[in-house]
Amino acid sequence: MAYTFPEEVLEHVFSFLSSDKDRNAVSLVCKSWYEIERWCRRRIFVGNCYAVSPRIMIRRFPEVRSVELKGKPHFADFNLVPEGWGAYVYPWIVAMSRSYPWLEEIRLKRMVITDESLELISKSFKNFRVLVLSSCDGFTTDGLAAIAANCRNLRELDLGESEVEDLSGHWLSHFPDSCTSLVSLNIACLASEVSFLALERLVARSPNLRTLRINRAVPLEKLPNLLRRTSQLVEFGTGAYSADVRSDFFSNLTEAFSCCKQLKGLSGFWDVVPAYLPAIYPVCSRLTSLNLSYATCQNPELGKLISQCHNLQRLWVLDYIEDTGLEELAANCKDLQELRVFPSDPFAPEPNATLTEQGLVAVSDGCSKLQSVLYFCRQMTNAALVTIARNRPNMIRFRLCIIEPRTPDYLTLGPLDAGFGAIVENCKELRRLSLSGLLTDRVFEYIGTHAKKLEMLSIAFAGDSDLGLHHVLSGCESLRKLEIRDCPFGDKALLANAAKLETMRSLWMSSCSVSFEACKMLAQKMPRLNVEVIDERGPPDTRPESCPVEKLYIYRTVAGRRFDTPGYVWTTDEDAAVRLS
Amino acid sequence: MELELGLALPCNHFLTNIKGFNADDMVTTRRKDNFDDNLSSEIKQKRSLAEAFEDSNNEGDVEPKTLSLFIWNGQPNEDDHRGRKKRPLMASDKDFEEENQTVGWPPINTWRKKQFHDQGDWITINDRNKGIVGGRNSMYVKVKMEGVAIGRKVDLRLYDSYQLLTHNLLQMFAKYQNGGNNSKRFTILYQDREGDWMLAGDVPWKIFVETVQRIEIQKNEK
Repeated sequence: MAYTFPEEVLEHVFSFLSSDKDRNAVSLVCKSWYEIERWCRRRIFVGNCYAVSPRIMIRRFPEVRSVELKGKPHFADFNLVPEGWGAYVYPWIVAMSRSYPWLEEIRLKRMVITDESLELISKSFKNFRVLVLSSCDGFTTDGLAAIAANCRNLRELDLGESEVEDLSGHWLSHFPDSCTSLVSLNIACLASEVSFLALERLVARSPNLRTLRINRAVPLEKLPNLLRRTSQLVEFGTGAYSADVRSDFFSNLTEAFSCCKQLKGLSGFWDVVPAYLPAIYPVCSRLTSLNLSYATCQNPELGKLISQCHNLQRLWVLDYIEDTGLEELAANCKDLQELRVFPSDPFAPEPNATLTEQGLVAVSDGCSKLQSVLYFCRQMTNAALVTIARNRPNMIRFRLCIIEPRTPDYLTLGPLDAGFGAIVENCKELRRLSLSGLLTDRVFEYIGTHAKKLEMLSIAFAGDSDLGLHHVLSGCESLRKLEIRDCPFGDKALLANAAKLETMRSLWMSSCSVSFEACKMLAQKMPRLNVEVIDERGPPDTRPESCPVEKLYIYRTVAGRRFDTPGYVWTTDEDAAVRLS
Repeated sequence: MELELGLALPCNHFLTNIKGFNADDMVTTRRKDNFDDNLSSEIKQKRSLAEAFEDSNNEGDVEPKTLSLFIWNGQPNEDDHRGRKKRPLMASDKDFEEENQTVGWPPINTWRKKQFHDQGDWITINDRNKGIVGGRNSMYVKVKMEGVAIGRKVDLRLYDSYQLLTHNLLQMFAKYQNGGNNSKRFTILYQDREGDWMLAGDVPWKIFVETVQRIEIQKNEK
């Protein structure tokens, strides 16, 4: 059929395929489709920046407009990846600046981006529109000033939860007066004050602004004026939400919020003064997304606020919501799809709030659309997990963190195997799962048997032998990312499932029982895997063979060994790398 | 598929069949006793932690100075009370937090952790020396009630007198009390910046607000 259509027609047809998966499938149909598809691919997602090189990407896809890259392993979020590990975006920017003059979007996650890179971006791409930096580091406000000054058509600047060195709050004033294209601006992660005047002027001349998230340094007193200029906002992140309680200011703030008729999402609320929360009551019924996870606010104010948000689809909140607040949520918010409950005091020895398994059970019972959960708590039972699993077979992401490692079911004092087993057995569409609590190999047998669509699995302090890991690697057909810490999994399971690793994006293992010997063997047998040992104690082969490696990061790649490894990363496959390059 | 052919790795006796893995073999070679060992050592570890805690909490039993704090009945000798330090409890809390901190656990990303540090323990970490109430954005202090496992935090800015604070604290913990919340049955203590435990109400409200680090509600003996 293919040759009966002119190329342009097929190109047009392919343009309706938005998912990477579909595009990849199309390119496998025949040589001519492969050719047509690669010339019209505009968006690229690279889940691991070391899995492919910029050169390979550019060679195959010459006309890309939007690139999304991810760098460090997920566990870097929790300080498990030492400083200087890698994921530098600079070589990518250099290559793209030469080959993609029409590049419009760059989205990065967990990558190191220098001011030099930002400057190169700002000067190389004439029609640059979107820069999203999630959990990135390595840059300062000087780099942001270059973006502001040179990207005349910038639509979106999102600094996510990046670590920015704050040199000056004046970078915002580098946006030229002619810049009126902003749709989204997120600077919530900046620590120091930004020039408020520049911010006010910038938002005032951005008629298309839909998302604005300011940082904690912007005081509440400034909100009313800011909101009056941005009444078209759909998402708004406040700064510090505190001020001396004054009734005239309260009514001023309330009025400013009520002017925002399009508002659907609210976040921020640092240092919240509960007395000012009612100012957002007028918009509550419109909200679909509410992030109160920095708001140290308790009941009854918290419950009262949430129970007015009848259309809420996404709620992030601290454990101050307690079981009672979650029960109110379950009764009032029938559209809830995503719930995240964070601990207000994770390192305290005792609980800080009455938040137990009951709260989650209540939400699973009351909110039939719930499909994504992140829940930090201190106690759990198998019975509760079974109930949750039966209530919500539509669950897609289920991450449970019982704060104390290896906590058993507090009623039976046994492991939580059956509970998590029920989750994987009932939730057929489950794609992401994080385990915690006391768990034996049995839970991994359940996971390997039932979790056929699971794509990402996080395991900590669980299992009792290689068998656990074997169940997962041999059973979970769709697994792409596996991260394990402090589990007694070792060489046998890893080597026996070596081929499986090539079907996955990456495997992280730290404080497990894998020997350096096994790493070397794996690297030899699987030349398309990069096997990187992270060991800050020195060369791993100077220790006895039985001594397990500290951390292990394995990923598949078509780019061969990387050449920017720091001294504490030990690669094992010199030969393989030479052969591939 | 050709990848699997490469699996017959040297010196790995278990990689004998074509799949490269014999699960049954694993089951039988799995050292069950070892597992049990692990479990019991795990439980042991837990218990020793609990013991350590109890020890520090009960240190008062050994150390008469602290003991009298618990049996104090509402008509104290003021000097006696003021001079009393409850440092052991504070020290053990700190030790626990530091020793027990496994890197990267619980899994809270560093950015969020930073926010907490700036806010949750605000009063104790950041602005301990500020002292000026008006300059503070929030004033959360931890409150514990004797015999109740779950503590609370209260924002002192919401109160302007001891009376209001006492009333609200007792209401907050009302469900743990079976005899109503008659304030006469309880004594509210607070720890000041020097770590000394004081009787709430002894100093003017303003000074209290400036110096309080944490609050504890004690049940009075009948």
